[in-house]
Amino acid sequence: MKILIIEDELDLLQEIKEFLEKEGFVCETAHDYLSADEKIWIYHYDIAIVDITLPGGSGLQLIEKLKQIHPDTGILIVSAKNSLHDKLTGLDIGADDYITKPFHLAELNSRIKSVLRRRKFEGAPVIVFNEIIVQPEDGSVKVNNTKLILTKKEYELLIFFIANKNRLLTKESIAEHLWGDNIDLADNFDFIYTHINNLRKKISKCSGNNYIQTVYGMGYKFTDL
Amino acid sequence: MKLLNKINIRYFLFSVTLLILLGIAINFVLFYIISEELDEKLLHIQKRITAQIKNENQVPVIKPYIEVVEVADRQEQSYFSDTIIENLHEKEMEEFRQLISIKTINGKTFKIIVRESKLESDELFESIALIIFLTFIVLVFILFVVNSRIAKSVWLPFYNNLKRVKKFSLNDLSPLHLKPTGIKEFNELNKVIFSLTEKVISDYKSIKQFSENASHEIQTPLTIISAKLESLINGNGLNTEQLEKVKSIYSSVHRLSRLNKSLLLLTKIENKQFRDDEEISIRKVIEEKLIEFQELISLKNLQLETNLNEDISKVMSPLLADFLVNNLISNSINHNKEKGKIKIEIKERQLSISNSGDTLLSNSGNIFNRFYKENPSSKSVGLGLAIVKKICDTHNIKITYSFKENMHCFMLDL
Repeated sequence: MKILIIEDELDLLQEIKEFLEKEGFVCETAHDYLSADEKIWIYHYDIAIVDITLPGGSGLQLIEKLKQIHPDTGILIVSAKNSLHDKLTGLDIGADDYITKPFHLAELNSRIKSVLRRRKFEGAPVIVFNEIIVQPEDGSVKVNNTKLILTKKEYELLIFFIANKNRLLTKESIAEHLWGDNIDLADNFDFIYTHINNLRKKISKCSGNNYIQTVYGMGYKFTDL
Repeated sequence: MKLLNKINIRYFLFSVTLLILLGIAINFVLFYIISEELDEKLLHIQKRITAQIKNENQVPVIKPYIEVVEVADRQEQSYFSDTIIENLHEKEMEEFRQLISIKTINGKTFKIIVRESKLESDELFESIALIIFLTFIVLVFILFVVNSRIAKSVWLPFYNNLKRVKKFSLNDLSPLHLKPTGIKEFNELNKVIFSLTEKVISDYKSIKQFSENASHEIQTPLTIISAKLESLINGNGLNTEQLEKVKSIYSSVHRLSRLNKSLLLLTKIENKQFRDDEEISIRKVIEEKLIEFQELISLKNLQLETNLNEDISKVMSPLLADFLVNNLISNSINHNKEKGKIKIEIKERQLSISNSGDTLLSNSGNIFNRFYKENPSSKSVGLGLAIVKKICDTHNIKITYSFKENMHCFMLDL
């Protein structure tokens, strides 16, 4: 999988690149409008991560070009502006998703995978992790071929975990993934704990393995045993 | 005191003083003129009597008006004096003015006393004084009325503009264009007010713009810090103690970024960057939010009671409607007690969201203030209700907080 990261902050660019390379992606980077423009003309990418404010031009223009040259490239907008207008414009001209700074890398990863699923499997995406099979199309989950009845948040949690397997997920990133960043819940970490416990119980009821490890004080890790 | 009243009172006092002074002066002048007239008349009569005695040798006597007595030879002289004589018919004492003169006519010396009752001249004096006095009063009254009418009409544009200045709010973001008045001083004042408000607004805008830009600029470094910390946490190079510290930094950065986002949102609402462009069904927003919060509500064992038979539609930005309902409901979950109640009701364009709680807030007046926390140790940022209030303020929604029957209640007049 080839990803183009267009971001003018070199530190952030480097960090995203390292992170995604660990996830097994092949990454190319561009730090301004011109170099990004050049790259999208020459190469073909599965996903482009585009920052809207770039030196030399607007990310939105890049997206329009990209849509013309390679319509099958998945596009994820990264913006410092949490503006509904920008978001709608971005999605209108063909971006697949929109994520605002500051974001968690795990969140970015999960969004990228979701975009990839939607793009690659053309409506028949299936997420498989050992005995766990998720069909995002209808939201059904099976463990050892037994159907699992999950609440909405438990389902989202499971998808988030699988997308970020073998990584430590902080409680903060989980909370933001589940409830967005606009929620100011004082005790949301307790809620996460309850959700995770319920998820564990439900999976083990279908004789699935307990993949969710608690990392004390930090968060949780979803690992293959 | 109102300017018009002040002018009127001054005017009134001045008129009264003037009236009294003039009255006194007129009194003296009139008195002098009338006495003078009387004396002349007496002198005239006296001359005619003298002539009569001289020519016809006849001595007329009409008591008490004319008395002529022959006296011993004496120096000629004459003088005026006042006297009081009993009126024979009415048996009353009456004041007279008299001219006593000693004249030598045809070798005889006469004492001629000519008298005139002062009653008549007093009456004349009184009626003249009265007429003048009344004329003055009417004049003053008319001037007073006319003056206040004129003042009122002259000051009217000033008062109208004053009303508009009072209503001026920075949030309207438009300088005050006051109506031209046709009066130079007022027009100058209007100009000054216009440029003043323009300046204030542009300063206000640039401060707002600054805080928004600052918040934006902070986002990127925060993202970098958080990403680097995440990779540190995920790497294997740290020992437990270092990991603890990194984790603590990470939590703080996370908190900072949430704080920054909330502040940014507040600034944006203040800057009116959300367009009120959709008819929002408040009931629908609540129903959607309740589905989202459903799990949290059941996790906390809260009992939800809704009465959403009516609906309120409001033209506003969908995002803000979402924030409004979101923050109110999450607040009612956050500050609820174990196995408490949440009550959401729409009734006659009023939305009320209430939740159980044991105690009255110690500072319920501060509940909508930024960073106000009833419980200082709470992990909450303390901006949720400030955002709610800001949305309400910018959309003419009246929001009130009350504590009744162990329920904290937020009432919104939409």
